[in-house]
Amino acid sequence: MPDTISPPRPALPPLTVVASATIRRHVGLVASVVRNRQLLVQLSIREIESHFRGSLLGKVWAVVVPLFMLGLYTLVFSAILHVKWPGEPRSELRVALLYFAGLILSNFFTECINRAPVLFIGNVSFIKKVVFPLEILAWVAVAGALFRAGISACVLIVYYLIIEGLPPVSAIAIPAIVAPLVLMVAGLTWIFAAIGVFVRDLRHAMMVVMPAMMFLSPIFFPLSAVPEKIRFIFYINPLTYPVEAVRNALFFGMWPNWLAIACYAGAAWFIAWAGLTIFTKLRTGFADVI
Amino acid sequence: MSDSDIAIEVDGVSKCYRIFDQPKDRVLQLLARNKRRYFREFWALRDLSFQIRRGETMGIIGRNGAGKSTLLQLISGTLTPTSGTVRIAGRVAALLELGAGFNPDFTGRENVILNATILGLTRAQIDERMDDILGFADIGDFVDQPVKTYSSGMFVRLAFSVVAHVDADILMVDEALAVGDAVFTQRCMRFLRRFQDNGTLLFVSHDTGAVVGLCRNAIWLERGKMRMNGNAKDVAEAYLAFCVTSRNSDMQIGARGLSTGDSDPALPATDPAERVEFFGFDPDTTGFGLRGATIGAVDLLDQQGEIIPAIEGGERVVLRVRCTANRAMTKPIIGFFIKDRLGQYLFGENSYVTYRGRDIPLEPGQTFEARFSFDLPFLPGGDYSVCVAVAEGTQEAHVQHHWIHDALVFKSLAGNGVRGLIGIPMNGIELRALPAGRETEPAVARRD
Repeated sequence: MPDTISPPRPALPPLTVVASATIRRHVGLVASVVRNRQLLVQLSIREIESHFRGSLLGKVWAVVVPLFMLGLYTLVFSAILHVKWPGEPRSELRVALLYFAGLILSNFFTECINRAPVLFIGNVSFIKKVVFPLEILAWVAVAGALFRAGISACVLIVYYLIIEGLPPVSAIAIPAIVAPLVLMVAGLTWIFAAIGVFVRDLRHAMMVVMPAMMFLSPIFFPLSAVPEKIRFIFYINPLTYPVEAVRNALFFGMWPNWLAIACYAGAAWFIAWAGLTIFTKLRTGFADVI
Repeated sequence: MSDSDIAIEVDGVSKCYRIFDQPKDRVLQLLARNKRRYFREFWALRDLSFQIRRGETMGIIGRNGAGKSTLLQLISGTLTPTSGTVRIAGRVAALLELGAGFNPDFTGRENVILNATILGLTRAQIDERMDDILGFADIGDFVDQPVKTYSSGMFVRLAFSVVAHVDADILMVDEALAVGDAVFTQRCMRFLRRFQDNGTLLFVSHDTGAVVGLCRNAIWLERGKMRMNGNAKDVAEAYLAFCVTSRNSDMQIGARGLSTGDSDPALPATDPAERVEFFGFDPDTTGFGLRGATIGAVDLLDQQGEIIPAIEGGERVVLRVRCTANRAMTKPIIGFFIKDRLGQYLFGENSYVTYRGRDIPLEPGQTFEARFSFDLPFLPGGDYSVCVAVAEGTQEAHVQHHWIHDALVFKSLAGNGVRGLIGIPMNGIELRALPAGRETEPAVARRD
């Protein structure tokens, strides 16, 4: 083609590898979030919006559900069962609050992990049709669950202010406890989502494991009430530390042990790293299986 | 033509799918490592290598299952090869199999934003181009409805519109475009023509006419291997010839009681792969009749007696129908129709009128044939089939012995500008101004 006739073309970017049997791009935790922040924001907004889309009450459900649950706990545990928190004078309304605080964290956890095994299976076109940073989907699920947990937390705070008055100063440490939990949940989501593509049984297994997680964590009782012999089960549960620490900070004025937070955060970071590694390793096989 | 001109480089690429019969085998395989036992291998692609230069338009043809979709998925990066590497220069956008990356619950507008982001545009760019995108797609108020309510035509209009506005360097398109209406298809073609000036286009199709019309070069994939890579017209013709002969030989394998290889010694010795001996499906499913006589072979021959795989129109051809009488008869009739893709009868003829009053006595087992010699009309590009029948008796009272609906299938290459169902070769066309005073001249029947 004679160069004199056609106008000069803009230079092509260099040839880059798009698919290779040997080269595998490892996904960096922070890099992935930064690089795909636009997508992340958009998908998260859609996720949150669409959760109640099409229903009559719409966004109102986001508040109605936690409100109702709180009312239910109060009714059952306080008015009917007269449950007492070990080491405390009887106070039915306070007990409901104590449960609710733990349950918010537990619901956040279970919502994400329950969804994990089917996270990728439900987004087939993102796997086969376009090049998509699939790891983002875990953050999107987490963002949605976090938002709903946040609304429940608002309901909790309002109830708290009414019943207990102002929370103690130690309450401001709560975000520092919740942050590593979020990271831990993201890591576990990657693990189960990646494996869930190949092992369909996982989503059924979750139905059993998640309730176990809930009851084998100090939501309905303090850790001190658990007999020594079986306490180790609780220590394995990733929910145990955040629930106990948040509750102590919010209700008992206890500042979290910073060493404990650091250990937990370290474990969370490790799980997240493991999750991304497993994800990277299994990712190349997704399109073959789905 | 330096290296920097290459847009797509496929280097020794193979793709093997492991087929596990049961899900648990997959886990077993993971544990057993390399004791390769639990799966069957299916090689979708084998050792494929080629380069596509920037600005080229490359067609990719092949039968179903040849590996075309796999190749496209590899090029777009959604699939990982078993061996080899794919390198791309620039941004790839694909419009394949309707609704690439569309989420059914999101509205059209949301999906545009989502897909444009996935394809690499920033939010600012998307906002800037949103009006253009929606205008090109032209689906009206439906943009704010969930995409799952769309018809397939609207789907493809929106998807293509997004793809057309993301500054892609490489575009991959397949016959998904066929779903749009005529207005939209025209708009697409205009866009593609403009795109071809600077961008690289990959066009996947079965329609060899479209490939020849759009692409300069083409690749023919057959069972995962590259069968041919070169000039589009050459590749298309080779592919057509292959389809015509192999389609029939495929049929032979399944057909009951039809023998192959019983060749007429009188026929000129041609390469067996080129001869169309039997077209046989199981005759019970595609034809009917008493079977007092059976149709053995149907061929479309040129004047030299060679089989024609593709026609352009206007050729003088001979349709030869060869039959075997299963019982004695004296008044055989052989006839044919040529039908278009939609099954409309275009034209046909039979032997009755020509041979009325003349008996042709036949013994059981004797073969007989009819040759219809005619000038093919111009046929618009597409698939056509020949329907053939053998009967006995008179035109008013006859008995069908064997009628086959699609005895022979052939293709017309597009590009001869035929409007209407068929075009008749004109003997002469005249246009002249009449000198004053001659306007009222009576029309004289001209006898040429």
